[in-house]
Amino acid sequence: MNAFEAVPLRGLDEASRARIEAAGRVHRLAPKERLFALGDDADDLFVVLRGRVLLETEAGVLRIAEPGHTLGEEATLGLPRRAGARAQGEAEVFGVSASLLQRAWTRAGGRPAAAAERRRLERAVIADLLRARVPALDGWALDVLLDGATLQTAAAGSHLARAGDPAPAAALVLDGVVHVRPAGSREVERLLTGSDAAGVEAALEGRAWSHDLVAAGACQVAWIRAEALRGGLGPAAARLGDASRARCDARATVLAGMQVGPRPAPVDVHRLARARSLLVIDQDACVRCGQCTRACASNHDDGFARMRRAGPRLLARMGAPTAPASPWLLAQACQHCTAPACLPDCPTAAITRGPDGVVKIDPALCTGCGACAKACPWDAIEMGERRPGTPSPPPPASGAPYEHIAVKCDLCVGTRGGPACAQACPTEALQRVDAARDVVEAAALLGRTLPSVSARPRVWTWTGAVAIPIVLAAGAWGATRHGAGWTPGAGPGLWMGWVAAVALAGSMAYAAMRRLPTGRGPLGLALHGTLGATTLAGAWAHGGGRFVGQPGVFAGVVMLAVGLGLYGLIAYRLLPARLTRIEADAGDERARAPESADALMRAVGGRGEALKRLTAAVLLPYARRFGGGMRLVVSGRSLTQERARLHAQLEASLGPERIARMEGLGEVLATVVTARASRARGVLRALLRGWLAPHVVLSGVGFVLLVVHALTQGAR
Amino acid sequence: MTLWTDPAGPHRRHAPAVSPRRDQTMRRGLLLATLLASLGAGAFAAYSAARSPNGYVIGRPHAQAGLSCARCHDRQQPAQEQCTGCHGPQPSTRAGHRTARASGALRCVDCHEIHGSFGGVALGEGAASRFGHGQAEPIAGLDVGPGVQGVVPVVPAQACARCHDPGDASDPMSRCLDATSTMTLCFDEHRRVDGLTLATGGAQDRIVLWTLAREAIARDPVAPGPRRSDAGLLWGVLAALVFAVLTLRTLLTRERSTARDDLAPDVRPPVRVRLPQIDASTCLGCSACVDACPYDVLALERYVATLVRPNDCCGLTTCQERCPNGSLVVRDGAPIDDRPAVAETLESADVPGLYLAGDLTGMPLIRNAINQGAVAVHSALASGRTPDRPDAFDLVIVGAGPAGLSAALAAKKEGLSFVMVEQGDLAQSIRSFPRGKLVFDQPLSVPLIGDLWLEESTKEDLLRHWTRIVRSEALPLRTRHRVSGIVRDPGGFWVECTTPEGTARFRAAAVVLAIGRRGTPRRLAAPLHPSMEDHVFYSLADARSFAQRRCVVVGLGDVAMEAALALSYTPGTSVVVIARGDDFRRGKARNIDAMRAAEAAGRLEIRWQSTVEAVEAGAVVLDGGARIPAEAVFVMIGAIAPWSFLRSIGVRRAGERKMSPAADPPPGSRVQAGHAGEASGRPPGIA
Repeated sequence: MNAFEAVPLRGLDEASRARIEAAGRVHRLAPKERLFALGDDADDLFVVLRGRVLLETEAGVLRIAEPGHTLGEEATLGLPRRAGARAQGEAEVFGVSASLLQRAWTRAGGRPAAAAERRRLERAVIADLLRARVPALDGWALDVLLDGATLQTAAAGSHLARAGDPAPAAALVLDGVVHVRPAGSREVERLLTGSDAAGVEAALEGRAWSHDLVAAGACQVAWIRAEALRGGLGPAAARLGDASRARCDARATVLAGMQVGPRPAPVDVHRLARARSLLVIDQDACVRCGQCTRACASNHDDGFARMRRAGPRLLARMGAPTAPASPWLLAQACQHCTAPACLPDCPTAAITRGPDGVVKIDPALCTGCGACAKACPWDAIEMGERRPGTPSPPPPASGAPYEHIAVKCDLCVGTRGGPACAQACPTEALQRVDAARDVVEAAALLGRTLPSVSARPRVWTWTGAVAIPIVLAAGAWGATRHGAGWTPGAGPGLWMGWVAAVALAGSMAYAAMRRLPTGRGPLGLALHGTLGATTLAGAWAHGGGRFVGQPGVFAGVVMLAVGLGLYGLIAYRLLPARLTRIEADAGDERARAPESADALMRAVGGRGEALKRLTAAVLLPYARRFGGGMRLVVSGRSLTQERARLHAQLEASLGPERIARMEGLGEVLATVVTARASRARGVLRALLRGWLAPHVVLSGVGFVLLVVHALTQGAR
Repeated sequence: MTLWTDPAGPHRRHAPAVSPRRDQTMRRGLLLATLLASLGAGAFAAYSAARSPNGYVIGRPHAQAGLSCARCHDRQQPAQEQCTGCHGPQPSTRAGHRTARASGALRCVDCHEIHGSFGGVALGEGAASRFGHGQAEPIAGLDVGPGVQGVVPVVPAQACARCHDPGDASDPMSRCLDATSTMTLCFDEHRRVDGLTLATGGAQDRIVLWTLAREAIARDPVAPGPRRSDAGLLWGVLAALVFAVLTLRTLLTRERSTARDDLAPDVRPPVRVRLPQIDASTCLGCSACVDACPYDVLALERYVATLVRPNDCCGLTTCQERCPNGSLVVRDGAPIDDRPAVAETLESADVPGLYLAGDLTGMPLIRNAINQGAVAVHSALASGRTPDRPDAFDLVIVGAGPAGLSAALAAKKEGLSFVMVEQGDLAQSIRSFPRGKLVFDQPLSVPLIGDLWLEESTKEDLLRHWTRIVRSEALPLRTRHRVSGIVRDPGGFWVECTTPEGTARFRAAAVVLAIGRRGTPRRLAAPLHPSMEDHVFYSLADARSFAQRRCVVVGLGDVAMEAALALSYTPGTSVVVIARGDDFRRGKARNIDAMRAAEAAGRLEIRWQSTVEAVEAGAVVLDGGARIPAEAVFVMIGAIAPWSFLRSIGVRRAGERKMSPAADPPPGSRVQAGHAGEASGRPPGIA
């Protein structure tokens, strides 16, 4: 049977059929072969072409799908499989992205049968939610509640309810994150996540909404009418909201502990909930070298980097509650969401999700329309030029070939050793984590349990610290032996020369390997540092510390290069944490001094006269104080602590009452401490990164000089 | 308690394009720089090694004798003792040394360190010089006789220390050491000079030589060191190389990041109506075109793009550029008559010397307005018109919107004398955008000329930047100058303005008209109580400033609906909408739905089939006599197009022009006009 002769696929227009044909796949199932299992992620909808397919749960067979029937409708709601599917005898099933099929049906004028199926699913989902929340809910009461329930899928940023509107129904959050804000304000007071309830009292008492309810990301909410609540639950209805209030308070504590930087920044809980493979960078270990981004670009043929080392930061513990909390940067890169926003928006179903959860874009289907890039809330997809030779969908007869292509992280599938970014990180600061499972705070916010994992210790920090002094001492010892029968040309002196040469070649190999997609181990930096120190020690002992003639120049270059490298190791160890403390947010690489002045004007604008006077007289000189930033670095205070200290000082000198009356002071203080640290940030960044370019150039020169030196000495 | 404040979410209407990360550009060229530096250093080192292998320099006498390295050194074997080939066998005069020599324990080079730095003293031609390794330096003040000539090599004490103990006074060699105990001054190692042979001239000379040599060493104990010039040169070359490649790398990177395509932008306004045509059978339903359109001309219906508001189409091809598979094509339609006729130089076809720029020409988007402003000034400059009076300006710019500002910056750059008049304030129409509105700089294939700052930013950022530009460039901006008429005579123009203080007249050789399209907001025909004058608004920038107020919105267009909705979401604000019709007739479906929902929720009240009779103190009176309490009245009933004003100064529509190709208006003709200069009309390039 041709798939398009099956009832659900009849009557589609030509364009839709072509797209379904390109994206769909026929599954031939052996008897009893499984099509999907209960709880699997669901993106595809299936049409039975031949044979029969059983839909079953633990309770038994739910129904038997016959040729022409559809199955797997939960995909249209973005829910995991609610039943397993298994072929009864031999069967043939046509599977295609549910969103594509829905598009096709809509283009062809809708499909009422799908709506009925959808309603059935919605009831089942809400029933699950209610059963989990209300113990011993009997069939009749459940029916009453379900009859009064509707499911709403809301887009990010949309208002679910506005303060002042009548509340005929209470909201049960099924999936996603909802912000509760005071009327008309952007201040988030509470945060609702999965299975929280809102507006129960208002609905029961016939009051209006007291707050705005805004979807933080795409979310699903079940609305249950007040009559249904009263009828189904009776007096117990009033207690429906109690548990979620307690959870909200607990969440507020967790969220307060996740703040990094001088002002309270939004924590994207929605992102943490969705992320299956979140790219996080420990800012206390990240040396801002950008090796991850470059490795990403070089590991892909098109040369586009799929990640950007920028994004929000949060203070969190990885793996175990006992782990120390570090500031993590949520870098801009595809996080392979559990319910990807990009996937349903693709008009050709080029975006698919594998059984391992990896979200992929098929270049042979991607038209480069940009719908996915617009749909992704975190800018993880970008549009690039399609390179010649990349597979492409056949262009329409009248149209030009497709010029663009959607580009995003593919987790370096096919690269040995996993994602190139993580492999390239010299300090193991970069990781890919399943936020809801690996981040302690995220698990607490989302009400998940945490498996006990212990964090891996980082190797490079102590290896270098131990190895380098030992090696240098050996070099110094060799150098002192000079003159007592020790010459560079023979015996141990010559051997030291060979040691230095081999060590230099070895550490050069590290640099060369950095440019390969694979072959970078976690020991890389420690080994490189040790080899560098060995080079330094060997060269020193070999030449006896005398820089005479051409060999002297060579020794000088090598020792300078290695010395820069050793400085770098120390800087890598000491500076990142200090830099993180004085960074306002991870995206402030571009922040310049005039921008800070702008920010200050904005913060002061429209505020009281007292604050303006205080700013002009005290805070502006404080922000502009020469060397103030470095003083902050030396003191070791973070911007948050500095802000608190400044606040306390102002209180001490002006009195707490006057300070409390100054509206907007907090924002101004945050701005001035950020501005004060701005130059120091630049200095620390330069100290952290500036040595690398001369190190690389001098190492290259040194290596060539080594070759010349070896050749000419060998010739003697 | 507040957890945090949500940032205003961006309106994601265009897909971000891949751009190189800073991390990528940061190290760009480093590998190339390393390669260059390495190759350069390697080549130089090889060259210098060939000149003086291993840094060893042939001593001065040997170098003068033209000896090469290979003369003493063999490639395969260690240094050979080949001194005797030239010097002949020179047995030692001392018994001990002779025995050691015979057994092979003492070779010539054991005492004479050929590449060492002790060297010796050279005497001849009446002068003495101390040499070592490869260099020599003269010793001044030493009286050397004319016939004295010879070389005295010096043996370092270190060489003797292998057998002797220089520190022991009983050791025979201690008597030979010089004052510094670093070298021996007994030069009679190979020739014994005693009383018996003193008579021979050779011995006489030798004693003179040795004496002079001792004196020379006393004066100059340290022989010149090895020639360091090679090493120094190598260091210098290396440093220069590293510096050069690092600088070059920085320059290369910078140049690449700032390089922009310098295509000449097309500033000609469209001549024909252009409308998108969509092939529904191939349309993907991706909404690329819908999101690209700044005026919501297109919408997605059942996953197919459709033309829903053809009248608002601006004729630009953004949608066509974004369509991935060519399903949407913008095609030419009927000629546009509703635009002023301008030449390619943006000079009015009717009034020579009058230049038009910005939305007025029928070409939308801020970027185009900026380009047109600059082009208009350049054309005015090229026309060569000069002021006819000493107090006259080269240029008067009417309107301080994007086009006017850009024109002012261009005029300032060209050194023209000019003045900029504006009826309201700087960029008035951008000021009236909603608070925090994202101003889209459509990333078209239109390059930006002119110096006006433009980036995708919020309205506030854009205004802040522009205000700063006006202040820092000291642009002569006259705000609250409402242009009442422009009179042309053979010598130039008179631009007449009404100001709060009275009237003002400016004489100019040319005029740039950048007044936008919106014209003047249509005012209420009803009488207005003087106390309410400050409470009547024609735009809504920030609904929050009207919290806890009673607001009346007159009109039911998109602008009015959006304002009413924004006000209704503000806490404590009561909103009454006054509509002339009996139902929604036009406007975006989204707005109509939201209005219905808001009305059902009791957020606002719509008075259908009503008109405003009068605005009294604290209330609006309707035609039925109903009094609606009002603290703020928003009049949003459209605008009067600037056509009457344009006609008054002689500018006609393209359509009128075709029908009667009349000549210029008579010089000196003067028409009072109702319109005033105002920058940019409908939000250009705003989405």
